Amino acid sequence: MTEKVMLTNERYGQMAEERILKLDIRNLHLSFGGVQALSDVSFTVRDGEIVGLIGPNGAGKTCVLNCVNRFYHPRQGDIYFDGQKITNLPSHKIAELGVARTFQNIKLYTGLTTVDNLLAARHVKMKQSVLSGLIYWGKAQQEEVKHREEVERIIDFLEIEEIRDKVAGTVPYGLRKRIELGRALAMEPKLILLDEPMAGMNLEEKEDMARFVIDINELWGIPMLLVEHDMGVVMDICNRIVVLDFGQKIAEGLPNEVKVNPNVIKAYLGEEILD
Amino acid sequence: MLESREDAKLVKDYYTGLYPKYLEEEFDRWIKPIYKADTAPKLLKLQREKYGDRRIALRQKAYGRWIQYSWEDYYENVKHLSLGLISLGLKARDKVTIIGENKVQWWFASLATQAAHAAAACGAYSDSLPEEIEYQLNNSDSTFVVVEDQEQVDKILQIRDKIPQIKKVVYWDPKGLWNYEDDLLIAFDEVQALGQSYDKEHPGLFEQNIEEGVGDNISFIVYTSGTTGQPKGIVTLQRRFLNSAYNYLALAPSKEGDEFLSMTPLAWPMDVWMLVLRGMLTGGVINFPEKPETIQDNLREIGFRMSYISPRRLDSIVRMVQMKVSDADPIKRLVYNLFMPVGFRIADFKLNRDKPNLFWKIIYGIGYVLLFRPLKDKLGFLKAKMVMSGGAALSPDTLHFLMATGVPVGQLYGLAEGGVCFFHRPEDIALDTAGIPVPGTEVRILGTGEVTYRAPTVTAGYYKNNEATQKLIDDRGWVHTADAGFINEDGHLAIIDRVVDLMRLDDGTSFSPMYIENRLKFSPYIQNAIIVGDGYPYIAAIVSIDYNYVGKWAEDHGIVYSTYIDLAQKPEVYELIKASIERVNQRIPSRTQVKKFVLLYKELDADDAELTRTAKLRRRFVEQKYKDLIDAIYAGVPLYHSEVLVRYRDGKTSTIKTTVAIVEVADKSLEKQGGR
Repeated sequence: MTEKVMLTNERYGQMAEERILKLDIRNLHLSFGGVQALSDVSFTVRDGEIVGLIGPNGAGKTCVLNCVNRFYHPRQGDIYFDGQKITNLPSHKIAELGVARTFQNIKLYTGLTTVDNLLAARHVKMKQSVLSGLIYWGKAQQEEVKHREEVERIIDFLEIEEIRDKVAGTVPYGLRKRIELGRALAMEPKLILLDEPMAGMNLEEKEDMARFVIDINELWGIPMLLVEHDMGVVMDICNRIVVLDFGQKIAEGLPNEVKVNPNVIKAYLGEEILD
Repeated sequence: MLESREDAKLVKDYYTGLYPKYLEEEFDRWIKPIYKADTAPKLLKLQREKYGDRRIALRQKAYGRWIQYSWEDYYENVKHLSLGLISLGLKARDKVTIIGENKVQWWFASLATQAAHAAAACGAYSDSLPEEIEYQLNNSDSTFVVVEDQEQVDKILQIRDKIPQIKKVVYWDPKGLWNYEDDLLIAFDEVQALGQSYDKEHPGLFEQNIEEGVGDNISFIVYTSGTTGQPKGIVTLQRRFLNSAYNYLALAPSKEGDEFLSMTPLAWPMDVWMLVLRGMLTGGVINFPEKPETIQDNLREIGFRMSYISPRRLDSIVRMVQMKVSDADPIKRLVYNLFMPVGFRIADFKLNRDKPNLFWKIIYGIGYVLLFRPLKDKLGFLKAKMVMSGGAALSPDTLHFLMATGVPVGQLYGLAEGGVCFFHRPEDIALDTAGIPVPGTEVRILGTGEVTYRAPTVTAGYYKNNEATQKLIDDRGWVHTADAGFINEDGHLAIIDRVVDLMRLDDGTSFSPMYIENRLKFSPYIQNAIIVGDGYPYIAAIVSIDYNYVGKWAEDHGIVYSTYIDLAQKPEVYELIKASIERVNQRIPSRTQVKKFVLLYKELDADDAELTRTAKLRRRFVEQKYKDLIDAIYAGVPLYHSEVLVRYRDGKTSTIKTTVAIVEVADKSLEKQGGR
C-alpha cells in the first residue's frame, strides 16, 4: 500500500497547483463563550486529494468539519466550496451542493435496513412527488429502480452484500461504519468529510476502511477531508496533512514533512522531550 | 464417455438391475441424446443447440440481482474467452490455473481452456498463500492464470519472478485494479473482446477445436490439500470427468430447470461433479452465490432442488437454528419444543425403515404446517429433494436434526482421486454409513479391511508423480483408499478408520477401536469408552458413565446412590449401559461386537493424562494403566478388586478400594437372524 501512495504523492506534488480548489477555508474563528475553539484556521482541499486533519484531543478538528457542515456557525472567517461561499448557507443546502459527511459516533437510522439507509441518503437526488411515489408507476418506478441500482453499486463497492437487508442497528460496529461511508457515497458527493472513520476498529477493519478510502479517491477522484487519530493510517493514505493544536493551525504539508516538524512533535509529545 | 457401446449396455443393465426404477428412464432421457459427446465442451455445444436462448443455464448474483445466462450466452462467453486466450498465446496441452470464489467466470475459464485442447489446472483456493500458488503454478506448468480480484493479483505479482512461464494474468473483478499498469495483467472482458475479433479473423476455429477434442484429453488437474507433504495434482481425463456426471445421475432423479447452488470451492471437484456437470447434462440451472458470506440468504432465494453442502456448513446451520430458537418469542419456542420431538420420532421411523402409523402421520402433519415447513423455508430447504454431504464425517446429531425437519441428507464417500463411489438414496439414509455403491463402481474389501474400488471415474494418476500413482492405483486399476470399512447388512458401506489404526483379534479379524468407541459415545449415558481386544479372542469395553446424565436417570428411576463409584456399580446402571452397547452391537459385524464390558470407577480425564487436551483417548497410556483390569476381563472372572489411587483437584491423593463387575453382553445376532 505504501508504495502506491508514495507514487501518488509524487504525482500529487507535480500537479498540486493545477488542481482546482474544492474547499477553501479562510481565517476561521470559532468560540463557545470564552473558549476559543478555532482561531484563524485557513487551509484548502483541492480536487482529487485526501487531506488529513490531525491534532491532539480537543484541538478543534471536528469543529472544523462542523463549521463546513454549518452545524456550528463561525464567528469570523469564510468557507468556500467550489468557489461558492457557503458560510451562511443552511446545512441541507450545503449537502445538496455535494458535501457529504460521516460521523465519529455513527448516526444511522438504526431501525432501517442498509439499503434503506443508503436510499434515504439519495433523497436529495429524487425528483418525484409523494403522490407519484404512492401510485408507483411510470416515472416514479423508473426513478426507484435507478436509485436502487446506484445503491447496489455502492453495496458492491463496500462489500456489504451480506448485510444488505439487515437492520442497521443490529449489524456489528465495523460494518455500521461502512454503511456510514456508503451513505456519504450515496449522495454522489463532490467532497466527503470523514470524521474518524477508523475509530474503535481492529487492525483488519482499519485496513479495509483505508482501502475503501483510497479506492473511492482513485475511482471517482472525490476529494476527502479526513479527521483521524491513527497516525499510521493518516500518514499512509493522505496526500497532505494539516495539524491543529488548541484551535490553531501549527503545520501543513506532505506527510513526510509533517512527521518531522518540531511543532507537531511538540504538540503530540510535549515540550520536555524535545528539549 | 463410456468406453464402447458394449460398455454402455452393460452400465445400463447394471442400472436397471440394482437401482431404482427411475434410473432406466434417466439413462434414456439424459445420456442417450448426448451419447456422442466425449468432452465437456462437446456437451456444451450439444446442449446449446438443444436449448439456445430458450433456457437459463447459469445465474449469478451481482448488484443485488440474479443475472441470468442462457445456454446461448453460456456458449458465447466460453467461446470468446477461449479464442481470446488462444490469441494471447494459449497452446494445446498448456495448463491454466484459476483462483477465485465460485463465479460464472470461474467456470467459463475452465471450459474455455478445455475447449482449446488445454487443461484447466483447477486452482488454488482463494485463500491460498503466495508460496502455495507458486508451487501449483510451477508444478502444473501453467502458462496462464485466471484470477478473481485485486487480492489474487497482488499475490501473483508478489511471486512473479519465480513464475516466468506465466504469459498473462486474467482478472474478472477490476475493483481496485484501475491504477495497475502492468503488461502481465489483462481484464477478463478485454480477453473476451480479443476473442471476438479473433473469431472474425478465424471463423469456425472454436467449433473445430471442440470437434478435435477427445475423451483422452486432460480436462482438469485437481490439487490435493497436501496435509501430508506437497500437494499432488490429480489428473482427470475428459471421459472420466463426464462419467462422473453420468454416474451421479443415480443420486436422485433430475428434470430440466432444476436449481442448483454451487457453494463449495470449485477447486475441489465435488461441486463440479455433483452440480455443475449435472446441470450441464440435464438442463438445470447452476446458481453462483454473491459471495461466501451471503450463501445463507442465497440458499433461500434460490430454493435449490439438490445441492452439495459440506458437513461443516450443515453443522453451523443446525447450530444457527438452535441459537435463534433460544432467542425467539415464547410461542415460537413452544411450537419448536412441542414438535421437534415429533420430527425426531419420524426421522427414527425413516432410519429404521419403518412406516409411521396414522397417529404419528397426523401429528407430523400438524407439525409440518406449524414448524417444519416455515423452518425449511427459512433455511432455503423447502424444495430440496436431496442434500448431499461428505468429505468429512457428518455428525449424526446434525443429520438427525435435519432429517427431523424433513430435509433428506445423504452422505457420500469417495476420494478426490477416484470419484464418489458410495452414496445414500433419499429413501435409504442411515446415520453412520456412506450408503450403497454408485452405479458402475466395483468395490472390494481387502483382507486388511481396506476399501478398494474400481470405477469409470477414477483418475489417470497424479501429475508428474508416477510413484504416488502406483501407490494409489494398483496394476489392475483398483484404487486403494487407505480407509478400512465393511459392508453392513443393509448393503451399506461403513467406514471405520484409517487402515493403520486398526487392531486385530487373535484370529486376525481386524476392527477399529475408535469406530466402536465413537458409536458408544453417541449414547448420552456414556462419557467415554476404551475398546480392547488387540490379540485377544474377543472385544471388550471399559466404559466410564456420564455422571450428569446417569445421575439424572437414576434420580428419575428412584435409584439411590452416593458417589460416582457407587453409581457406576449399580446393577440397574449396568443394565442401562448394556442396552446401549447392544444397540451399537446390532450395527456392527458379529465378530467385532463388544462381548464384555466393565463400568469404570471414574471418568476418563485429561488431568490424569488419560485423554489429550482435545479429548482424544491416549490409547497406549490407558492400556498400560488399566492392564490389570484388562487381564481380569480376559481371565474370565466376574469381579475385579482394585485399589485405586485417586488424585483430587487440590493435588491430594488417596487410595480407594473398590470392586468392579465384569458383565457379558448377550449375542443378539443369532436371535436376530432367527427373527428375520
